[in-house]
Amino acid sequence: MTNIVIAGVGGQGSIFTAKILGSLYMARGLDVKLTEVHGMAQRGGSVVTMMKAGETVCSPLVSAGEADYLIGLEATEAARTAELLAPQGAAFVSSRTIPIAGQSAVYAVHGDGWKVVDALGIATEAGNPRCENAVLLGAFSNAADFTEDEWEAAIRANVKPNLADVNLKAFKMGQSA
Amino acid sequence: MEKRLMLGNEAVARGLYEAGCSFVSSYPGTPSSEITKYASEHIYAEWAPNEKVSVEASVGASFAGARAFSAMKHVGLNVAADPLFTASYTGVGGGLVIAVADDMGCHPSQNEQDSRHYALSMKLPMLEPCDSQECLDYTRLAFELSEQYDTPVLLRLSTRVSHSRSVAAEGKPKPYDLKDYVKDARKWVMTPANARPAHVKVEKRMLALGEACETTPLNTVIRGTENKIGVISAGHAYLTAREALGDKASYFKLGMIYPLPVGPIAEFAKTVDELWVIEELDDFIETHCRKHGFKVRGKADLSPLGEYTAQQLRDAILAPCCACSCETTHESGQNTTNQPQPTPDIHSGLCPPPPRPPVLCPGCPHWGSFAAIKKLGLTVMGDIGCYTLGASPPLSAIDFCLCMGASVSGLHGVLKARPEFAKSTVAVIGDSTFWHSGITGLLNIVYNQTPATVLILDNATTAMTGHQPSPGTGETLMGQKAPAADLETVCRGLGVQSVATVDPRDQKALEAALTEALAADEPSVIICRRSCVIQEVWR
Repeated sequence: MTNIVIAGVGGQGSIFTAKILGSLYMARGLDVKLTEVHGMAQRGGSVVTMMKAGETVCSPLVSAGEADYLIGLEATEAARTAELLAPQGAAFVSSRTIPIAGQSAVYAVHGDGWKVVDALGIATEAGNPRCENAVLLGAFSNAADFTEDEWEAAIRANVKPNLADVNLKAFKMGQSA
Repeated sequence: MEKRLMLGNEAVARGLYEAGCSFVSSYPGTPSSEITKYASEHIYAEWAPNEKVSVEASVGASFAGARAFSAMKHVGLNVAADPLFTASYTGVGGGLVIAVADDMGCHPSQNEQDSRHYALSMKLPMLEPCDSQECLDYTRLAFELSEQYDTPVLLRLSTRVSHSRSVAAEGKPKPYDLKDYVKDARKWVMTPANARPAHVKVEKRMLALGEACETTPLNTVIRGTENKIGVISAGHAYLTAREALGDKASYFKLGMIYPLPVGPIAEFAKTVDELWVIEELDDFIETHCRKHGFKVRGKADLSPLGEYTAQQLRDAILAPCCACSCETTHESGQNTTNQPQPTPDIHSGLCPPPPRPPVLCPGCPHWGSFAAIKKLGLTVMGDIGCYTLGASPPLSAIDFCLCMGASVSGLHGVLKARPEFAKSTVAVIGDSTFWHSGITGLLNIVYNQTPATVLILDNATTAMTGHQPSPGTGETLMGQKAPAADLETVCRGLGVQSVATVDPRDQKALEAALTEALAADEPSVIICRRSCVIQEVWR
């Protein structure tokens, strides 16, 4: 069973990220479940999306200490979900922090051994700042056992055709970040 | 057939299409909204002004011989309860299915009501799928049941089922011919003389359904490797239970949760040492089990609040004291919160940061409305929509929020109790919520005469639930042009003499309008009109 948690702020595209991962694992013939947050929580609130893939998946919810991978689209939100990560799990997290309304304190946001990536900077360089998630998927791909072709197919299946190239470019740049 | 990752709500919509359903009418409500949107890709679907109208329209379509459907969130069923209680008596023409999506954990809702109680009190069968494949299959099946037993059928969903994606295979759409229309007043005209015999029919139907549920293949036993723990469960709670207990337990998984069987539970109970009912929210299944004399464990050890996590279930069920049936150490049963304690994570050493609640978007026109309200230091009767976020810091501008439409009707009550509050209290309600149930409250203000000031925050969409069109937006769900209901004309038509329209970005104009309206001795409406900023970006 592979458990992945995607943490971010509403509007960052965590559902989109999860759908790419879902396609990727499903193409391997695995059972896949995703759970996502819609509605009020999308208005700039915390958004946690979970994906499980395996022979048979029961609940899509990942319990504390059970995530193999954490993909953090925003650093504070990654820290919030750190308890979900397994002791041997790996985290791929953006260096970006988005301020929380009414909070001025700075919080320690990166765990030991986490792969921290300037996702926003790289995405901007790739041509579209909204491709932060593709950059982080690129970073994650170094730890996951999928071919370039599998990744390309999963990304193309989930983005509008006119945005496929920039997403693939951001993904490749994320791999070498 | 093609297998793909389907959102639970998308799978329900697919089931509607495959069942030959030809009329869908709903009001948006998270987590149910996507069903109707997806349905509109294949069949006729519409947004009604509210859930009562949508269900009445669906009953009408069923009366006319079509397979019909409405979807709503849990609180929407409260609005639609009136027609449904009596549609239980009339029964159906074409099959009639009503989906209700509960929200354990209040993800986007104002309460955590357990809509299963409606099945019992309305005397309607209720099915509960646990994943997308079941969403599709149960929707199809619900129409068959509806016609076989001459009853509306409730399909119970939840946030985790509606908003999870899992693998589902599409089936073959089955065309449905409209049932012949037959004039039948005894069936369809619910006067007391017809309702009394109809009630007899309903009770007979419940007996027949009670018998059917004893053998329905929707309820299945899944055997584990040990016989110690048996779990009765349904929906997402069942998936969480399996996640938590795996093969260590056996399961009686319910697909039909009303009516509930007796024989199969007795059979299942015989095969296990300890019988648990795992259900989120109320003790609906547990009460049934106790009524029939089964010794079960459940809510004494498990919270009536929120969603369960696998860990919570493991702690309650597999804790050592459970093995010895010790009753005294189950303090977790008194647990009234599902919130994890904020302790530093042992692996990362990180403390969880403070919560990040949702906020109004940058550039949202509601900021302007609330800025003027705050400046004048007003008490605010709030309503349901994006502007409910005006309750959160830094605005903290809302003093009351109950249900759809209650800002307007509640303000009237405030002013009857404390007339002097008229100078310092306003109601705020969105355009879509006003069409839903603000109109009647405003009519009451005019009729029973309070000098209320009502702000209609008209952002020309139903923003919170995903930007659905409404009667005021000039287009339908199917993308056709429609006459746009005019707020000013409607308010004047109800008898409001003072109706002003301002742009909430024009603070001076809004403050002046507010000051004038609050000073007036008659009802006033201020329409704060500016399109939703997200909608503008998309255009």
